[in-house]
Amino acid sequence: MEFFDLTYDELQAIGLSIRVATICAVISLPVAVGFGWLLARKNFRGKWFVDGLVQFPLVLPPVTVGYVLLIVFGSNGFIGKFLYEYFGIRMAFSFWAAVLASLVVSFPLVVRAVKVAIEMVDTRLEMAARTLGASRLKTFTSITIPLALPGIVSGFILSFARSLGEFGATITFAGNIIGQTQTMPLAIYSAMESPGNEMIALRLVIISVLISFAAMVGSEIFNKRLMKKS
Amino acid sequence: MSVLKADFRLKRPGFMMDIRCEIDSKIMGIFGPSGAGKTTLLHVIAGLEKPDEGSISILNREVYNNDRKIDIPPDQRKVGYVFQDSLLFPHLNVVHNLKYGQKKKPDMKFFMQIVDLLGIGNLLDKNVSQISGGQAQRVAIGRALLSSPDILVLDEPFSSLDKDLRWRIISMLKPLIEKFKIPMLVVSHDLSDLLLLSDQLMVIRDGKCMGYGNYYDLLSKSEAFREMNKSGIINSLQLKLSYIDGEKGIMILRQNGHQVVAESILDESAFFDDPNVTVYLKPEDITLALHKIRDISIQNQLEGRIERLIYTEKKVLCVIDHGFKLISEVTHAACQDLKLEEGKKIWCLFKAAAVKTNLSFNALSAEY
Repeated sequence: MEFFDLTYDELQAIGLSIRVATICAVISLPVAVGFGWLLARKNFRGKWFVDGLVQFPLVLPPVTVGYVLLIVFGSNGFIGKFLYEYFGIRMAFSFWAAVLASLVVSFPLVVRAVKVAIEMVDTRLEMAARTLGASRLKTFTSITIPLALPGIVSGFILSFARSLGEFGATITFAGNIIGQTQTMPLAIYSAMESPGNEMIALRLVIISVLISFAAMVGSEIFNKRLMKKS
Repeated sequence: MSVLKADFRLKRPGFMMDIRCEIDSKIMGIFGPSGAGKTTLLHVIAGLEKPDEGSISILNREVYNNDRKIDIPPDQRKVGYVFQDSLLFPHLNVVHNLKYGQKKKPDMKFFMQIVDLLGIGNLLDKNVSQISGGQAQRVAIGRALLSSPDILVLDEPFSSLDKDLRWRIISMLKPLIEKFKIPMLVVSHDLSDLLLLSDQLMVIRDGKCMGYGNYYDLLSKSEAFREMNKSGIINSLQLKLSYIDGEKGIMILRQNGHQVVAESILDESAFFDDPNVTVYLKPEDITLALHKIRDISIQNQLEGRIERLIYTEKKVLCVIDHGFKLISEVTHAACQDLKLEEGKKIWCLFKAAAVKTNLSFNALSAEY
């Protein structure tokens, strides 16, 4: 299988993509669970605004997201400047910029999946738990979360898969630096741009499809097992 | 000690609840039509909904007082709640459902007592999707009892069950309440179900209490009567089984020196732990006579005294005291012809076939 003899740069792009996607999914999940619960279960003033703000990156072109991130977190951005001056952290064009770009773009998808999953949990089951002496927290962890778990897992996989495919925001905010910020989609783009590298592009496309497919299948198997258990 | 003292107001779009009551009976039936606010009332008692003003005390413990800013959350109210459709947790099996509300160091003896009394020992390892509606409701009752509540509230616990199962569960509930001495509020839109449990009732309509107290006292309150009459006034009595005559197909029940003959599908070999039998008799099935009648096929002729006459638009309800009370329904014309009046001696006549009992259901196997 000479076709799949990957170069070091390609391996780096694959490894980087998986790392970025995993970190992004792990970080976004608990925050998304919080937001999902808030939007599914609570009524508060300005809920429409919070909902809109969370969903906003979904309708923005990813390049725009990257541009906004660059303005905010760049060396001269108000947060970027603060981070550099007080902590010596340079966000833009770094590995963490790639993570942040993926996070912002994938977050609405996770929140939406979790919100729908929590909405599907019968609130009367939560009421029943409360009358049986469960605190709000125990009700949430022992009733809401387990019952919404298939949706939460879907959210995690969505976040992972969306990060794996993230291009526009990443190239704008994190750049295309081999070994640092060049994830698979960026490597595919670079390979396509330079003549004679079509095979590299094809190879990476196949691998990215396989990884995404494996993630989807994994989530399906997990959810089926959950269903069987209950 | 008062079981429940409530005086509160709650406003919702298109609905206003205004309840004032003080209940001290161990078992109280809450009766009312759909949309009357029965479930809302239970939610408020359990702390699942917050009134706008007023106060609520359970067993003299104030759980809500708007003025004093007291609002004990549902998990600390100690109100065991049995919901209409059992609401077992679908991701937990039966035993984990039962143990959900138990303390960290569960009392296994108490657990086994409840499991035995409800007859759910063979269900413990099953998933909730594998058990029937009647079984689920018994598990839900067990789950609520195992959380060691001060009071048990049941919201239409029988509505999803057929008549046989209702009677079975009702006949299980009473000994449970007596054994564990937990007061109980039961909500239903079916008067006959409630009367099998208690003759203490609260009638609510449009979020307001139309009256509460003894069933026979409520009949003379026009608003409460109107509501109960929509469901159908019924006689519900507790009698003691004397014997079964399988050959004649009858059973003999006794109470206060009176004998009641009922039809029986059982024979002498039927065994009962409890001689108490709940009897169920429609007022329109009871004929009144001024004297005992000879040479008639009607098996039951009970002498009593008219305690009260309740005049309604079309009928007269006659409450007759035999040591236990029976309601008979007669027309205004019959009332005049017989010159019925309070205090007058009268005979109640009814066929054995008109007497319905819960006995046949008690004798059925526990598998349902």
